[in-house]
Amino acid sequence: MTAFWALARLRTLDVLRSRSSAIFVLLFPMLLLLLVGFVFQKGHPFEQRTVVIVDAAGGPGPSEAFAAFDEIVVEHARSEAEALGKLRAKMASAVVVVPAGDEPSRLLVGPREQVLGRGLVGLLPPGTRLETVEASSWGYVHFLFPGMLTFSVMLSGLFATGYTLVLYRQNRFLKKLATTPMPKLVFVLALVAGRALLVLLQIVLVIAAAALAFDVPFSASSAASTVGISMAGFLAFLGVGLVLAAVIESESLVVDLVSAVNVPLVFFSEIFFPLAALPDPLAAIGEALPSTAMVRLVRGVVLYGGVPTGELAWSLGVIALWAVATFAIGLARFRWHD
Amino acid sequence: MEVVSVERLEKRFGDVVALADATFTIEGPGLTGILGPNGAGKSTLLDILEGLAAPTSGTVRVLGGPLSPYPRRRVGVVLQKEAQLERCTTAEYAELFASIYGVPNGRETILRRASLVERARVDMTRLSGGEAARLFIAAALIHDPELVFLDEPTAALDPRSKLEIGRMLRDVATERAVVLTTHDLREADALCDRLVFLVGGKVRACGTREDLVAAVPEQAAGAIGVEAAFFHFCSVRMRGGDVVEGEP
Repeated sequence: MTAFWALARLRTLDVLRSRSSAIFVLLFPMLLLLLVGFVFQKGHPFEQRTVVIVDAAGGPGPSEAFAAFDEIVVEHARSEAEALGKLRAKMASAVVVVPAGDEPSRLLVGPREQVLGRGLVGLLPPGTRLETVEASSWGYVHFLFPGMLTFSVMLSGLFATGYTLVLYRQNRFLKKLATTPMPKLVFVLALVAGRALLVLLQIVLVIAAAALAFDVPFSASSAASTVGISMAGFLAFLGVGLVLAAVIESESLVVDLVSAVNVPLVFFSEIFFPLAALPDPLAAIGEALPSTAMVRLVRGVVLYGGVPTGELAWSLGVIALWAVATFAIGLARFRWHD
Repeated sequence: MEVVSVERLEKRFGDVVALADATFTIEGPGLTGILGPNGAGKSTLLDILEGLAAPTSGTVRVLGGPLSPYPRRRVGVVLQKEAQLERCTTAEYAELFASIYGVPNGRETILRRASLVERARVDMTRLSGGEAARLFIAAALIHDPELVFLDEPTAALDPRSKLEIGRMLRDVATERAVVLTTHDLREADALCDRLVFLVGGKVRACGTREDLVAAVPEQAAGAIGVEAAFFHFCSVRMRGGDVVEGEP
């Protein structure tokens, strides 16, 4: 056997003999394909157009005008500001504002949706005024920003505990610390604090880049809220990493697993499109994820001018529950060494 | 003074018996070597004495007390194959262990004792085997422990580093009990005041070096001192100074 074939054989067997690597190389692409097929069984999310209705009287507004069209999804907003936030973030294609008095309704569209607006206005009551509102050309980036921020924080959290603990277990540093009086809790908190400082800096830099390069509309309070929400999400992801580290022994497996988990999380966390575009079972999974909660909170605070109380409580509750449950499980299962 | 007392210790991993009916004591100050071939159960025994593993049965007392709660602040440990952390300087590693034990100026003490003051800012992965061994020993001594365990501290070192570490350990053992494991008979002969011979999970003999050597009725051909005593008590074969096989 030539050296070429000997080495090629060695490399191939190296992957095949590691169960996780073999799964990642051979099985994961097929699983991913099946997942993508399941996720997009209703078609591409943006084949449908969202019309947001703001009815000052609190009624359903002209919802029935769009009922005959499958490609139109109707949502309701509490305020014109919230609806415009969705329009500017490309989460909605048009906004219908129904005033309380006798004034005519208004149909608002972005500069790139004027043709759609002319079509829609014909479905609305006579006298509805079509208005074009100014919107940043970075609108979809605005929509993506909370997802990108969440994704970065999620990776930092998972790797900060998951990867570090597995690495420390493999190189026996955990066993070394076990010979000292250092309490388990102090060790874990030190890991958390060390990475938290970096993640805080990461969040501030991402916010600054989003505001400066892409006109993401931050106020001082929405920026501060974003930092707070992100740090809460970071704690939940740290907890998940802690649980992973308790059950995974190999450094390469933890890297493969985090990579494998990332892809579905991107689909299920409203990073690129709303959960409503997913099949119901997947949407239900997404509703329970801390990543979805974090994306929604940041999006609401930054783009929609606030988050309704019920949604705020639910999302913060989801994040808190994940953080508490995963830290409790992770700490209970934490062992300094085998 | 008795620092370790082991009575009828047994350790099983499923059906595998790693240690069987081990009984011995260790006194300090001085240097005690747990001597045996690879797979003899030395590291398992040390894990138990260090409070890192629980015995299946038997009684173990360290510094006069039971294994739980373990007297961490009175014991220092150097593991076999210690972690050399990436992107961590020698000084930062020293600082960590000084901080764990709350020793003021402990970092400088560790660096000085390890003769690594000049290498303080070097990434610890760049330390030589001997330098790293000195660092680990100095870190394990920072809280002035009464008892120090070292698992094969010289196993991967060149002869010169072995001598250096040997001198360092002899010095350390003048004031406290030092227990090390080794499969190197000549190293054990040169360093140890007392010896525990461990083969196949069983303690074959223990006592002072002088008593064990004196107990050998006639010197085996080519073997003297601890080497001859080990042959006598354990009926083992050797290759290149290391014990490679043992039968009861």
